[in-house]
Amino acid sequence: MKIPDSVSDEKALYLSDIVPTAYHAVWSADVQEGEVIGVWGLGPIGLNVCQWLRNVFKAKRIIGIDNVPARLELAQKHWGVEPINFDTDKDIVAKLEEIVPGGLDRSIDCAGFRYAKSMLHKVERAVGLETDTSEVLNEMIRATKKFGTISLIADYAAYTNHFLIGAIMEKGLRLIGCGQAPIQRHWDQCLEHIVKGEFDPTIILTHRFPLEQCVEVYQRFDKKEASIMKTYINTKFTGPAAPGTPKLSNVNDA
Amino acid sequence: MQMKKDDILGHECIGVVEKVGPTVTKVKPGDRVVSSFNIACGKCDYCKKKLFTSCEAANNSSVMDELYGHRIAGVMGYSHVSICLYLTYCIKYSSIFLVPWWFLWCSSRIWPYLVWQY
Repeated sequence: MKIPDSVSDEKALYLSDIVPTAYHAVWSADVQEGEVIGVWGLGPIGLNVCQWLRNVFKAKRIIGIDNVPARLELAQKHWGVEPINFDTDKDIVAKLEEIVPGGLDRSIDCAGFRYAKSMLHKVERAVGLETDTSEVLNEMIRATKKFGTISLIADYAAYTNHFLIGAIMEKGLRLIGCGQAPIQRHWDQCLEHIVKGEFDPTIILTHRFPLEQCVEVYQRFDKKEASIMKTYINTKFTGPAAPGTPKLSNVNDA
Repeated sequence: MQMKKDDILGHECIGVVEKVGPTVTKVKPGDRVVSSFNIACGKCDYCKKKLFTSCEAANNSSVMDELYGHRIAGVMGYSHVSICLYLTYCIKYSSIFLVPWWFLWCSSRIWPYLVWQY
């Protein structure tokens, strides 16, 4: 799509994926104004989901679940997200019941199948008894209120064990697979919110690296080092950095 | 499904249009543009319903047909999904013969992770 002159490269770039994908997750979950929403996983998608929920969909309360302090702090600072660190609060469901008695209106999974916590799931994945862990799913199933909605924007590959299907039926939960986001469907809407200043994709932008260092960038991002949340990769064609965005740096010094 | 020379990784990109083909009407050379990560024809039944990531014309791989029942649209930078490919083989040719290979394949992927965790 063509980018208006008033929108910087840094604000426009993420219309490729994460901005409309996060919008699609909230839109698919059919979030209504004044609701209480849980967001599992505060990577780039989860953080953008929080911003859509706060600024545009007008959620009353947003609970963010992650174990990276910098991400929890950023979500709390900018969008009033109530943080739960699953390293310190091992029982997420009990913690949620404590702060949101009765359960969440809707839960959005931005974490995915890779992050097995229990030894059981780690072993089952290792020996090929399952490809995906159901732990996040089951936390959401138990923490969401009766007749609430669970939507999955995180990716899942194939099969999982120990899935709490009984609660899906008995509690009347709506389990929604968002699908890969149909970007072009939400493009104009997302751009409009960016132009109006209701959504700023550069808040989560933490680093800018040269294209030549992509391998090292992926490695450090994968290990969640250097507080890398979202990067901007400079090529030889990239123009000057927009004011307020990260300056070009060397990934080994980050 | 192996990566090939000159494959382009990543799928969030921005740039300036240099040339357009004769049927392109929405952008012209010199325009600053952003591209979507997904590929869609704009003409099939799914695209007409704005379900662009279900486009029926933008993915020539049958891998997902086997595993998921249907295939979704093509996605830039993610055209080689090895986990799905392997599972598809296992399901299609499900025989005990493949089990040791499946085990080795999984172990080789997961062991480094377990070692790193503990």
